[in-house]
Order: sequence, then structure tokens, then C-alpha cells
Amino acid sequence: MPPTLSAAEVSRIAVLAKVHIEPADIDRTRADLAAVLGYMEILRTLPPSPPEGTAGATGPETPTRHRLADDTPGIMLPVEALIAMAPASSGRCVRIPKVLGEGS
Amino acid sequence: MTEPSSTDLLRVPWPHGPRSVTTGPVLETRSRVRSGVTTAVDVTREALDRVRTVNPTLNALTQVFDDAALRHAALVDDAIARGQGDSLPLAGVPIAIKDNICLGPDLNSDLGSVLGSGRTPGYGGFTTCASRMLEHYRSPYTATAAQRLIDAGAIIIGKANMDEFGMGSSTERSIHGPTRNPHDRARVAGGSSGGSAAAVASGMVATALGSDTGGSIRQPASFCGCVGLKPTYGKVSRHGLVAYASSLDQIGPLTCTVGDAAAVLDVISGHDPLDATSDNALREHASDGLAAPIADVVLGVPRQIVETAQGTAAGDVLAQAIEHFRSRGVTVIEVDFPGIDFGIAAYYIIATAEASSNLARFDGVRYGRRHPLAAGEGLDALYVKSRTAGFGEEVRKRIMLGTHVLSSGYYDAYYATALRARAVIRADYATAFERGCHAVLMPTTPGTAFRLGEKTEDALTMYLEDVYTVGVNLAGLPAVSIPFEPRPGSLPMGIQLVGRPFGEASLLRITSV
Repeated sequence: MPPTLSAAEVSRIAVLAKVHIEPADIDRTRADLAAVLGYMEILRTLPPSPPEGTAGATGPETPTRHRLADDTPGIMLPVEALIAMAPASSGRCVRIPKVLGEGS
Repeated sequence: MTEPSSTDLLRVPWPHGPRSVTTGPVLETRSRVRSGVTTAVDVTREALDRVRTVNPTLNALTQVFDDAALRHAALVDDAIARGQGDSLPLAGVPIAIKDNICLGPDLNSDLGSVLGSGRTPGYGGFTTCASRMLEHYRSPYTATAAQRLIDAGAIIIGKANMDEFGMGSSTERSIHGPTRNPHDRARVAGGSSGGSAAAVASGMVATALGSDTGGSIRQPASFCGCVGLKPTYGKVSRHGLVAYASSLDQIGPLTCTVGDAAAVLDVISGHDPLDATSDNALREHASDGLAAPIADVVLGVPRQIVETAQGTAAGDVLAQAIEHFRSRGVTVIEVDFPGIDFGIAAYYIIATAEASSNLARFDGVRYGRRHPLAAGEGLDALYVKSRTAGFGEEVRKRIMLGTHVLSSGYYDAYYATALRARAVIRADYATAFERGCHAVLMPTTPGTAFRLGEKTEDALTMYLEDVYTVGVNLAGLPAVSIPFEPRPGSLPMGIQLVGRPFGEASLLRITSV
């Protein structure tokens, strides 16, 4: 666990996270992230043990049966209500801008 | 208009002692409306008047539903006139909903048939999560918890301010501006459910829904002198709650009293097929037997907290709480919590990792505001520009942190290790309960409400505000914060009781000892 990060590493993380950091802000972001990651060094002192999953957050002592709902149609939003909410529409369809080349 | 004084901002003068009594504005309003002493419409008008007087100073509510609230209240009064009051356990109770909980549009033109129809009486509005990203987002559906409140006759007065996407401990990181503490407007209300806490403490509403991922109900409740209940993970449906960290998030009530919290919990809890992690077992209602005597109560106090909090406000309030419970015949023992030192680190790894995944959908295409592009720019630029402009600095920082701890080469060192720490923390609580503890007692916060701007420049200092609350979320347990006064004349501060899984009824009963 590196307690410090380089500017290049911060830029790489930003690319992975799909956000942009202004060059002038990189040092501050690096310091903030490094401070938090440095604090996380405390986890090095944990005794070795296998990790556990995140499902069933209350643990095995409470046997809650988690399952997905039946795949059946439920109450649907009426088309008219949906159209009324939409920023733009065309007949009974919601009109959305092109991802590239219009309204972008 | 003259600004209200500090005394005018509070519904109940402070100090008021531990608020572990069974009656409060929720139960009182329900009783008065059902019995015809007053009407839901009159109660709603009073609440809206209070909002107009107080909210400009506190900025607790970011949207107010004047017309819809009065329409809904009229429906409640009609139902009571038809003899259906018994089916409305929150008849006429004014409530606020945190702005990360979805309210859908009016789907029914015949408002007279709304109650019990599973539809909303025209609340709608925006679900902004206090973010530029969702500034104009209208949800097409209503969260299960909110729908259950509507069906129970609660009147939604407005949406409550919060830290953006729930990422903060002060409600300063909101596009709507900061919420101020009703006890001292120069101080924060806590967060991320700070708007909910301030709205309850100032009497704008009788209760409010918040969400708690690492303490976001209990910490603002502590700062504002409210009761804040974080239910067991799975107790309340998360359907319609905008996800921050899905294995930690839970909706819960903020109220003036424990009895009110139980009444609201009973309405919003229960199985929901729309949430796969929703508990589907039959459980005791929290309100049942709340005032009944309880004998031979044993509370555990983590030894590590007793040692480290000594001489601090947290230590003072803990000592006061121990004395309070012992004077009422409760046995208080020290228990060992070796995992407590790992809580913040594990939480900020797991929460940010889950957030980096959950918030990936906000890219300007699937969700969120789309940023304009220059000629020749492509899809990657669209994503990056939309996310950079839409998210605030703290949210971007947490997404980056979560991205880093999940990235190749770091996963085992951070994320897998944090999951191990989570198991240790859960084992600490399990051991305390196996030793016979009915609940674990600890402070809710390290201190009282801090000043606006005091901690915004140092992320780690702000994160450490959650030191006593995050373990509960990592273990998935229920916890309630009730107000104490750490020193004579001081601001309020909460003491926290942590219960066994799905043991809300017992937990709330213990507070009434």
C-alpha cells in the first residue's frame, strides 16, 4: 500500500474514474488522496483471515432469505404520464438527444 | 422580515434531557387528527407556516410541496370522516423526505381514490441528491418507504437538504447551500441527512426520513438534538433510494422521541419484493410494548472507546449515559472491541468502492446532465465533461478513491483487506451479544456540532467524524442515537445504542428504561 501517490498516478485514476482534474488541482488532489490512503495503512495490522462477501450484511446469525422478485409484470407507469414528464416528446415516444452531434 | 432568534428556531427548548419518552409530535398529531381535535389540513397549514418562518434561516428543506400537501391532507380528512382513520397510522403527520429518496409524479387524476391505491397525490418534484448532476431529475416512480408513508396518511411537506449523494458529514456540500443548525446557526447540522435533522429539530415537520450509509442519520440527529434510528440492513426497503454504497445504505427516521421513531419505523419497514435484500421474515413491531418494563438489561461499553474518549466531550457524554442507565438498574459492562480501530479505513474503502460502481451510471447518457461538446470531441469527452461538471469535488474525490482501491494491483491490498476488517468488526458485536449484552453503548459523535467551514478543507478530519458510527453499517446492525447534554449549557450530543440484528423493538425499549 503506497502512502503517497505520484501526479501521474492521480491522472491515471482520474482517467479510470472518467473525471478530469485541472493540472493546477492535481497536487491538492494527490495530497488529499494520499492522506486518506495513508490512514488506511492501519489495515496492515489486521490478523490474517479470509475475506467475506458483502451479500447478507447482517451475517449468518440472521437467516434472511434474499431472493430476486418473480419475473412478472407489475404496475407500469402509463405512457401518458411518462410523456408528460419527459423534457421532449414525439407522439407517444420520449425524444432524447443524440449522444453525439445534437444538443451536446 | 426579521430573522427568528435561536430560541424561535427550536421546537423544544434545549436542554430537554434524554428524549427517550414514548410520546412526541408524530403520535400526538396522529391522535389529534384521528380523534377530530384538529384536521390534517390545519396541521399541514401550520407546518407550511412554520416552514415559511424558519426555513429561510436554516435551509433545511430544498423543495416545499404546498399544494400537493394540502390536497393530500384533504384526502386524509375525507378518509377519517368516512371512518377509515384506524387504517392511517400516521394520519396528518407532517414529514420531510431526504432528497435522495424518489417521489414520483401524480399518476391519478382522481385524487379522491389516491389513498391505498399505491400512487402519490401529486408530490413529484425533483430528486436532486443535492447534486448538479441530478438538478432537473424527476423520478418516474416513488420509493417504497415514501409510498408507505403516503398510504399511512403522512403529509409530505418537502424534500430535505443533504450532502451531495450522501457523501459528507455536515450538509455543506450541497448545490442548495449549507443547512444550518437550529441550536446555533453558525454551526453545521451534521450530515448527510442534515436537512432532515434540522427540519425536525426546528419543528417544521414532526419527522423526516434520512438515509444512513456510515452515520448519516445518527450524526445529524446527535448535532441537532433529535432521535435518529438506523434500522438493520434489510429492515426498510431501499427501492427508490439513490444508491451510494449498496451494502451499507439504509433508510430510517429522525424524530423528537423514541416512540415517534418506532411509529414511523413500523410503517416503512417490512418485506418489499422490489428490493432483493429486503427482510422477508415476520418481525415484532417496534411500537409493541415500547413502554412496557424491561428487566435485567445489560449494556456493553467498548473498552477501547472508554480509554480513548476520556477527557473529551464524547467521554463526558458516555460517562453521563452510563450513570443514567446504571441509576435505572441497568448493568453496564466493558466489552473488548479490537476491530474499532479499523472502522474508518474499512468503511472508506468499501463505501467508495461501491460508490465508484454505483455512480458510473451518471455519465450524461444514462443519467444526469449532459455537458456540451466542442466540435470533433467524442464519447469519452462526453462522459468526462458531464461527470466533471455534474459531480462536486468531494464526490469526484470519493469516486477516484473507490476506483483506485478496486484497480488492478491494489484490490487485494485495499478492498479485500477492508472486507476482512468488516468481518472483525462484525465479530466484535457478535461476541458482545454472546456475552449477554442486550445492546452496545457508545457516543454517536466525537463532539458537538462544529462551525460551518471548519472541516471542509481537510477530508480526513471530516471522515473521522464518523468514527463511532461506521462500524454499525459495516456490521448491518440497528442503532439509535438519543440526545444528551454533555456539559451544562452545551450543545446537544447523541449517545448511541447498537442492537442485535432486527432487534429494533428491544433496542428502543431499552432507551425507555
